[in-house]
Amino acid sequence: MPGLTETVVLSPPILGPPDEADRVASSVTYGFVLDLVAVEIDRATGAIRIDKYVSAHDVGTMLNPLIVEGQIHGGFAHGLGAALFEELAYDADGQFLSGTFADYLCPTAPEMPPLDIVHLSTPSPRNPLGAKGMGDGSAMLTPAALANAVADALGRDDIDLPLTLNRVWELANPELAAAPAPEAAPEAPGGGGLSGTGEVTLPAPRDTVWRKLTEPNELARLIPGCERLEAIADDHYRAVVTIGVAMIRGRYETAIELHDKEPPLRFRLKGKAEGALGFGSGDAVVTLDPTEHGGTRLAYRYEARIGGKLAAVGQRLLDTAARLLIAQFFRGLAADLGPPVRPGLVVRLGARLRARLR
Amino acid sequence: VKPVAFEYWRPDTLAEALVGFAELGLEAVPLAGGMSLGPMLNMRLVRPRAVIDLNPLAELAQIDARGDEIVTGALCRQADAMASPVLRAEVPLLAEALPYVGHYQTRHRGTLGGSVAHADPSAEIPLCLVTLGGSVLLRSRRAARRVAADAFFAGALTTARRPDEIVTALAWPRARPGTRHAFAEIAQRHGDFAIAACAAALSLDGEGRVADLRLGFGGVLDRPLLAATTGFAGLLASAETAARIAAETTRSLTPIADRSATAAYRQALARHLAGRVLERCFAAPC
Repeated sequence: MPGLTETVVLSPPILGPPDEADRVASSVTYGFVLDLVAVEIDRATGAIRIDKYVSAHDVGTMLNPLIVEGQIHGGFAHGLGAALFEELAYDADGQFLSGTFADYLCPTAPEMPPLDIVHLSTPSPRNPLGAKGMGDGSAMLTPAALANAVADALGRDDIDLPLTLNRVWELANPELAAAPAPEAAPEAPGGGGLSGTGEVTLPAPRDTVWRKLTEPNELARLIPGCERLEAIADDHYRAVVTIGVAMIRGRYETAIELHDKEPPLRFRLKGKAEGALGFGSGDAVVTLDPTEHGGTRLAYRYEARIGGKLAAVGQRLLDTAARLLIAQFFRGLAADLGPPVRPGLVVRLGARLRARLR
Repeated sequence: VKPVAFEYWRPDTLAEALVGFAELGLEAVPLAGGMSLGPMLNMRLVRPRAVIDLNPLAELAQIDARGDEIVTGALCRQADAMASPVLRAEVPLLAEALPYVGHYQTRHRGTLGGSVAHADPSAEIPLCLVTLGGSVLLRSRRAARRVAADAFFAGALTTARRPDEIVTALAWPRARPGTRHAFAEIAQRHGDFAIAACAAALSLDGEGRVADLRLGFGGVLDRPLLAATTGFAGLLASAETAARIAAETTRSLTPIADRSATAAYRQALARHLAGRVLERCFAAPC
């Protein structure tokens, strides 16, 4: 290589081995950072607006000021993401819910407020260059500064990150957040959990309905997308079922068990399914009551948990999926129990069912 | 993330494409802009036997004025719709909502028909179509039909489209003179799925009282919702009226809950956004 070169070996005394308490200094010298931020919070939406953000740095001697500022901006963007958006979320079953950039939100250009950078340069006495460590300071400080600003604005000291819209709205409106939803929401928030209840009136006596629902061959015909159903023990079946919601179709190996049978009154249905798009398990209680006109009123209550890819990325679909599949099952059952008492009854049943499930 | 192996088919004519859907039904998926289908293929949520690419069918990209409707071909790009003077003048609600659809880049690829056929519960274009009382035009090899937007959306990503049909166009009622429009939404970041969105189209009578009112909510249920507003005719356009309509149309909502928002938050947002769009409509110069 042409030109002059000079090599200096330096062993700063501070970089010694770990002490008795296993502590070790990992850097020759540390930079100093001070952040000041002013925010406004929209109580109605939970939106945080950053009015001014000032970040003051003492990085000692700046070897390349442009790189220093670039590092500060980058660290600030990371810190902003940690403060407002980024979260490794898991549901109660340990299912990872933020595995794609559609779910793990990072700040993008429109989310970045202007950043005012101030430099105070005090050369470090610890090394010949007078330089100090810098770069990741803002990543650590920005979340703290924003959390403190929100805490100050709302008069709260129980701030959790990230400060998502929903979370800030709850901090700003504790009385609304604590109030129960108008009706129980069909989906448990945050996970692959589903539950629901429903009722349908069927045009056949209770014994017939009971037989349809508890005999494997009848059940196989009624389950939408059921290709094969085999009994592997008393009240214990295995089936291959194709379930499709919109374009998202998958084949699932399922195990179905009937429990607590009290013919012709009630039974409990337990099921498990596994396929390429994920896995699920469910539990349903079905009760049958005779109606005045020789029909049967069927009431059901179910809970299900879904995991795997579908729960992680298709969470918004689950409620619709459950509603439509159940409606399809009972439409099939009602049609199967015909001939309808009056023409058009099946159609009306379907419509009523849909209205109720809505 | 890579898709499963699939057949890619690029028909030259609509008739050919429709034969494909008639033959393959649920095993084929139509490709328009691919802004939602692409990620779903790559995540292997969608595992089709065939992808039928509609992009060569230029006849599906037209914007036509027909009587009291503007008919947008299913392949009309969102960016082209934004730039269309006809749509800006005749369907101002859509023009106001389009900047919220995805991002600058995705709008150059994403289509009006694709967004409607995909039926994301938070999507802006379906919400506008339902709010305005528009229709979806469908074709199969055997027949063409027209479905009112309100009846088209059945749930999240679920519509009245049959497996052998494709969406060929959307019919938007022309805004009548004097109609006021507003759109607002809240998303975690710019371009993200809306946590809640609200669209309004209304007219006032000569005394400044509410005459016709259409109010729609997106992102709140698993499909766009047209609010019942018949009882509000005759109310004086004021901040109090906006607040009252917002409260009454959202009181009995049972919003979806997911990781990004609780049901209570969605309901509060729907009410807030409704108040905001109504006040903007009332204040708009006409």
